[in-house]
Amino acid sequence: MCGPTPCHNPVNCIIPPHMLRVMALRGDTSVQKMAKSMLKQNESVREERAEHTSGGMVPNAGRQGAFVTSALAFMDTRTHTCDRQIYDGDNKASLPGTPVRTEGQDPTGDPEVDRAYDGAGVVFDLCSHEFNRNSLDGNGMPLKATVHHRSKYNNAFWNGEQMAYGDGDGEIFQTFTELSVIGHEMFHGVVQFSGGLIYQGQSGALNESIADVFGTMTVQRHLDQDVYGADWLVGKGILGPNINGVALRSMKAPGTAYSDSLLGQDPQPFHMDVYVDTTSDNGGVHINSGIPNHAFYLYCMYVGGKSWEKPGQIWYRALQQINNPMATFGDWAAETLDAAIEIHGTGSWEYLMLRRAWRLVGIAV
Amino acid sequence: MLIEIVSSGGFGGVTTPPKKLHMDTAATSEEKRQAYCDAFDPDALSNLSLDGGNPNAADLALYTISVTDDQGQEHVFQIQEDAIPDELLDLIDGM
Ligand SMILES: [Zn+2]
Repeated sequence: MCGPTPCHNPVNCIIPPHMLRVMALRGDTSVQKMAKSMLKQNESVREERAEHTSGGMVPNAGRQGAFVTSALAFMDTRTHTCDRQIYDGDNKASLPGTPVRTEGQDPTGDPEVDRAYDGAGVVFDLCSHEFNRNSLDGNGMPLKATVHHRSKYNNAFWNGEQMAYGDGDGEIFQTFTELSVIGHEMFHGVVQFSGGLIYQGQSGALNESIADVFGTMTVQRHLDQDVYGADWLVGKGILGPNINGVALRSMKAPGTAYSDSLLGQDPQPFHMDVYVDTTSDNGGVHINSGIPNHAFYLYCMYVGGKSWEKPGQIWYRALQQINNPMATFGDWAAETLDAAIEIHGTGSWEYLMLRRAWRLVGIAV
Repeated sequence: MLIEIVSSGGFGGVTTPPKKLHMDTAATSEEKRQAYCDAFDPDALSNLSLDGGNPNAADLALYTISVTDDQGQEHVFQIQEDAIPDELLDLIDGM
């Protein structure tokens, strides 16, 4: 719109598309509408839909660069209330579907329903007790999930408001209500309400990595595993019975989760030297996430203990403070180091080991 | 009308093999033919493709829909899953 063709909207000429994307992601309703209207006018960038009322942000209480942490820092965890709402999609696309189990109700006997319910509770508990966070948005939002979404659906997702889990086709995937997957999808919600990371390229891969980190952390805390006893797998057991693989992704050894005649080889890299440049998968968001995933794993190996303790506290603080929806891996690494300094001090062993972990995956900070 | 649909991506990323569907409406009943022609009308799909979906969503699939009309002209659209109406997704699932 700003090239040779005369521009009829001076504001649209001034604001570059990447800023409009951030405004569409993080603005309140009116800002989202304006940004998306402008994006639609820009032929090079698609319009992005404004359906939210919250804008995805929690008030920052005046602290620059800090979103949810400052909104919640003084809240007593006893005031956190879990409100799970599980729906049956009846193998159709309509969301959320028919309500089948709400907070406090007995198990239904449908394993998909009950795993989604129990898993949501485990994630809520992690957020509340380890990070003093009241639900995904920090304000006690209901945990809405739909199981049996669509027919033979090989996917699970976060749609900006709720989780949805397919049943799988029984061949490639056999379920998606596994705890690391549930934690993964729910932490996409936490990322959203912590300021967001644009789902493209490195920022998108960070969004994916943070979901994997806290997804595996959910499992480890549920099993009370230390970092050495954990398997560091994402999606363990969700692959079909004849697929040659243990999981969808491995944070311990990215690229080794499966090797199968139908699926091929796990494509995840573990180092920047083998970063995958691609236009598919939103610029490889599920591929290059292997690099920050492995950095988290390495750091956990250095510091030991439980992943939700020192490493988890650093990652969570960095997420609350990064305030950069287009962050690169380097930006994120620097933010985690800042968080390590704030928690453990400049020159601390925890800081030095974190810097070493990032350098080992090829990110010099 | 020829309809080709390829869905890709999602939680599994490139791991999930693309799902491919092919439909020749000439080989269907008159009733279904009309339903498919209405649902895969290129003008309607064009509008859907302009909607990038919810920017806060994650792990959604991407649909590439190719429609070859009766004049032999091919129209190709890329549409994020949540920008596709539920009824059309159900129709696709039933194909
Ligand atoms: Zn994801």
